[in-house]
Amino acid sequence: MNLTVLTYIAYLIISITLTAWVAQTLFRNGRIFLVDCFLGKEDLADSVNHLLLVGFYLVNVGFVALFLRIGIDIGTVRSVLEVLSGKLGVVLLVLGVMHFGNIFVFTKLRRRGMRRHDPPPIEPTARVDAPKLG
Amino acid sequence: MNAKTLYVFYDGKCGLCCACRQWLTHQHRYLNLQFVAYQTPEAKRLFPALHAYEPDKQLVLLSDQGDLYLGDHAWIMCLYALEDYRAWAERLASPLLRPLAKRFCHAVSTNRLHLSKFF
Repeated sequence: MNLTVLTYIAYLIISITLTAWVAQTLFRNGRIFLVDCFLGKEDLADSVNHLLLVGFYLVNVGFVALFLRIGIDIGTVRSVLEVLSGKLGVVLLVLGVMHFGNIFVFTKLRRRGMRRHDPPPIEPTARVDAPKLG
Repeated sequence: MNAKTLYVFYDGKCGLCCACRQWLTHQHRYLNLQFVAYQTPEAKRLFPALHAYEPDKQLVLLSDQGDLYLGDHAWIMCLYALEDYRAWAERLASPLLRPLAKRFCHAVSTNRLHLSKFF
C-alpha cells in the first residue's frame, strides 16, 4: 500500500468521523428547537429532525466522496500531512457552513412557530362596541 | 390580543377587493377572517356605525373584541391573520416601511375601481 492510498484512507476515516460527530451534535441539540417550533408535537419534531440528519449526511458524505481525488502521487510523509491538512480544512469549512445553515433553518422554524403568539404589530385606530352576533 | 375573529368590511362591487378576498380565503390563517361586503344588511347588523368610517373609501376591519382598524391598519391586520404573512405584517408595521405601506394602501384604495378592470 503506497502513501497516496494511505492518504485516501486517512482522509475518508477522519472526514466521515467528523461528519458523524457534527451530525450527531445537531441531531441531539436541534431536537429541543424543533419540539418548540412544532408546538410540543414530539413525534413531528423527531421526524423532521431525522429527515434533516439524513439530508446532512447525504450532502456531506457526497462532498467528501467527490473531494477525495488528489491527482498526484504522494511520496513523502510531509506531503501526506500537507495534502491531508488541505483536504480536511476544506471539509471542515464545508461542515461549518452546513452546520450554520442547519442552525439557521432551526432558528427560522422556531421563529415561525413562536410567531403564533405575537401581538398585533399596530394599535387599533379606535375601540368600539364588539360586533353584534346572532 | 385575544381576538379570534376579524370582520373585514370590503367593497362587494369592486373586482380587486373580491380577488383579494379570494386570495385571503385560500391562505392558512392564525385568526378567522369573516368577509362582509359593506353594502349588505349583514354589515349594518354587525357594525351599525360602519358608514361613519367611510367603508367606500378605505378598508374597515373590526375584531370580535371591538378593536377597529382602518385603511392601511386594516390591510396590515389582514396579513397579520395569515400564517405565511405575519412576518410581512410586522415588517410593514415597522417605522421604516409604514409610510410606504400607507401610501400604497391609499393609492390602491383610491384606484381600486380602475384596477378592478384587470380582475
